[in-house]
Amino acid sequence: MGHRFHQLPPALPRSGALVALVLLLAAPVAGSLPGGVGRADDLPPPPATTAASITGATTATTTATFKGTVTCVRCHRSEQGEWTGPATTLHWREDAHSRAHLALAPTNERTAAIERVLGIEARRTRACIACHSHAPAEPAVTAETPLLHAGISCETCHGAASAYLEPHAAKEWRFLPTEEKSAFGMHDLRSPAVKAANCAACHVGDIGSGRLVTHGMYAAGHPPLRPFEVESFSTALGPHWRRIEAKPETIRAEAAAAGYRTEAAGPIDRSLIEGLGVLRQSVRLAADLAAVAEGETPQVSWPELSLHDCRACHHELVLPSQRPALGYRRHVPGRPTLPAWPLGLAGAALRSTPEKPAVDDLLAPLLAEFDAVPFGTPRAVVVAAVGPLTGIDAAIARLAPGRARGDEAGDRAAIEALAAAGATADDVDGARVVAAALLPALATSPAWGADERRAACDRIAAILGLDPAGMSPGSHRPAPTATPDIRAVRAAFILPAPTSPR
Amino acid sequence: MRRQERTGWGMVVAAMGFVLFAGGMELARTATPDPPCPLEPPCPLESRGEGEVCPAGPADESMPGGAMPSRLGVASCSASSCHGGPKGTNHAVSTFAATLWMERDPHARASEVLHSGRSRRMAELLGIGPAHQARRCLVCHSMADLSPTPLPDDLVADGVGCASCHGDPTAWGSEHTLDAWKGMGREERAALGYRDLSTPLDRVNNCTRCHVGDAEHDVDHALIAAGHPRLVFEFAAYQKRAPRHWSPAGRAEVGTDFQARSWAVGQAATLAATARLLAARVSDQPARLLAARVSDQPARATSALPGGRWPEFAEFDCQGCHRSIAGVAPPAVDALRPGWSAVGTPAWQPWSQAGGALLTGSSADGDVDRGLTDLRRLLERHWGPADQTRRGRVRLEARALAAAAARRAEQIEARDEVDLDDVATKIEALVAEGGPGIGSWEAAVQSVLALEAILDGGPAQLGNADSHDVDRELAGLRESLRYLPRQETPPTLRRSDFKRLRATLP
Repeated sequence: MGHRFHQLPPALPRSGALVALVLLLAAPVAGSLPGGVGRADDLPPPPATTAASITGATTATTTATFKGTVTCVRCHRSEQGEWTGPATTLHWREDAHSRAHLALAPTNERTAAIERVLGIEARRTRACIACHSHAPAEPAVTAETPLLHAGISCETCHGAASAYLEPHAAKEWRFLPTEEKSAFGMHDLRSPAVKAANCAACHVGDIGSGRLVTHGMYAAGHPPLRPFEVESFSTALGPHWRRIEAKPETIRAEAAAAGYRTEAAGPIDRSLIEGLGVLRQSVRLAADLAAVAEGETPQVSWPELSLHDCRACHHELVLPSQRPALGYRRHVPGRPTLPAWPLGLAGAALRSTPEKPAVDDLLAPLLAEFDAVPFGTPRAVVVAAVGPLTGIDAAIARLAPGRARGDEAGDRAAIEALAAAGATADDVDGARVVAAALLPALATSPAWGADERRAACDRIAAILGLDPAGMSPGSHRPAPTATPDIRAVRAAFILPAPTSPR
Repeated sequence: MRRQERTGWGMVVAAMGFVLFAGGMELARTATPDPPCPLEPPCPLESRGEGEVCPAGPADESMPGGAMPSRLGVASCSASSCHGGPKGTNHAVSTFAATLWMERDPHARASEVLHSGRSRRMAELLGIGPAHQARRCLVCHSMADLSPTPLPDDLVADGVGCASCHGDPTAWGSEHTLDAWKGMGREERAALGYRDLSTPLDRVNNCTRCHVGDAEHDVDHALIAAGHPRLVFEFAAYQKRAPRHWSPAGRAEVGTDFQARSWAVGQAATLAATARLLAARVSDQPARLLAARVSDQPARATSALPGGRWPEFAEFDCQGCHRSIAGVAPPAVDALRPGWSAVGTPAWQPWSQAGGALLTGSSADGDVDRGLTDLRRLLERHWGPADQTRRGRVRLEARALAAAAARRAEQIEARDEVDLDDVATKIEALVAEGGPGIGSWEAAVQSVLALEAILDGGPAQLGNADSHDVDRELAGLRESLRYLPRQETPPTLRRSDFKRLRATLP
């Protein structure tokens, strides 16, 4: 397959990477993990009741097949029009996702160590390939798979292209209702809920497509999945798209005439909806895994520690400890609960809906199960997750239609909800996620004076070690010794009263 | 289904609380039959060829000695003509035992700590009301037990008083001042509730009730998470540090091997207590403790009362979970992981095992060795909460280990001389280059404590070695293992120090 090398993205490292690629693609994919734990590859699909999702991200037609990035770049690197500018493939090549599969190469030191501990070959293991290249629910990678399929490619996010490849080249495609596009297998990534579910399928986990970093994998050396905020992360990765409002007037008019509503939510609301989407994925992961563990032939062991907040266990053990000072949100002290980092942003989102539910109240039935027995019992978790999932879906549905552009009062309320979430955050990671959504909105809000908002942004960014422009994959990894005191973090989020009248 | 079970439990617990209030502790105990062995028939332990006697021993998981609902405080012992006289070399220690104890023994201030800021915060997080009134706290920090009648405040202020260790003096308080007392044997005195504390085994069984824990005295993970220090207990070292308010004359204590004997007996008895505690924790019916929690705080009972406890995290290696995940390197510790354990699963009770492992391994300890291995296999392969049958098996294995370790402690106690050469050899092997090495901080600290106990006999034990050198080396080793303030992970083990120490010994 050497003849395809000329099509490699130019940004790829050339040395060991090529060898790795050859090994990767020459290797037949093994169906199961030999021995050890973390058998995410053995997971059967979840029950139909839990698979239903208003986001629709994983309901694409399963018969669709991958056509390969080779096919996509034929048009999307050309100069044919504003939606197919050269930036598309250029940005993707610089995007780390395009090199995700290289992490599975045995030349990678960390991968080699993981393979040793778990007794696996990562490049032949579906549980690894699921996120680093393709999900097993989608067409498997074989020796025949085109080279550019490797990594997280176009179709990993946008959907397997076999059904929509030809129709989407037609002029009429552009303003088709999103449901019709989805029916062809194209994911509606302009919908924040779909986008969040799409990202979270790997970055949180998704049982239906076999994507789960188990605690066994972490313990063997897999890096922690980092907290993330979808909007600022995707901006930082380098967008290979343009929002509808950034497009020429002619196109916007055409969109309006066609009743195109998929980008109804403004920037702040996008962040809020995506925050809810990430929390949803976290709850759903617990429910789906519990359903599998509760099944007649349970193929996963329970508890699966990776469902829980890392820092519930992995926190400092000094005396006197900061941990009791932080409290346990009225739960039994010392019992692992859901990951805490999505709660701040999702909480602010819930506060921005007319019903204004508190995130703790919404999750209470599920969290009560983690109080009742350490890690909860699978059957109870499945049942208890239904309420929170319904509540989150309702909140997403509330926010999705968006608000009128220039709704300053609404923007200000959202900013204040975000600031309040930061000022009551229980963990630094959660505060960073909140800040990532808050900073871009606050920096441009006319409700505060220019000096005041700059001072507030600088203060929040400084204590969290963030770029004031927002959160990015590179900007959220301060040295572990520099973990700021949570009380100082909370204080930084306290905003002055708005200067403009309400 | 699940909901119904929970409701059922709530009713059981509520009924228990009612029984406790109505009839007192003793009635409650008789009203609670021991849960039937979940694995009978067939008993899996029979395949071991242990004969017709169940190797698990008696089903009772509470400590020998039982509760001590004393209503006689330190004041009743510390009259100046009894045990509260002035300190002086002219008098027998027993005449000023209480004076000395009140002055210097930290147990006298055990209840005071319940008023500290940390204690207040803990009680708040646990929802148990004020710490100095919560039975959960008072069972170890005072002479109180789990009975519903609260101990009067002045008795609470006594801390862990005379009755906590010597037994409730209600029945023997007067008797022990009479001449007839001297003629009474150990059993006769015990029948009156007096606890003889002459031998290391007597003492360690007394200490472990709080310092390791049992069904009624439990520093569980919720307590630790709320701010309680974890329990790390080594009998010989604790005994040596405690201000001695008794005269060693005429007791085993005068022998040069007393510390070594204390260490060995202490290790075996502590392991037994640890296993008994595990059996209680894994049991489905920690009824007495639950009832106590309910009566402490009825308002929180329905919401925050733990309905299930297993896995009880306090059974496992703290560092197994509480380790840094920042910039994780491929785990070097994996080499030390036993073959049976799943990746990412914490080890069972490394602190209690580290010393026990030094003690076991000789031919006489087959039962203890096997019990330890079987338990670890069970607990470290899968520690899930759901499987009742597995929990039943853990409980059975734990009781078997407890019985074996208790037998072992009695055997050591009965020996004329305690020779710990094999322990020293084992430590040497641990440190030796090319060997498996000292796996953990716990093992290193236990090794140091073992060495200190072995060397305590003084020059006679040391042969030609310069005792000053040995003391200095030991002190240095001790220091190198100390957790410094704000230190998150165990200190690095300095094998070279171990080696140098061994080099100074004969």
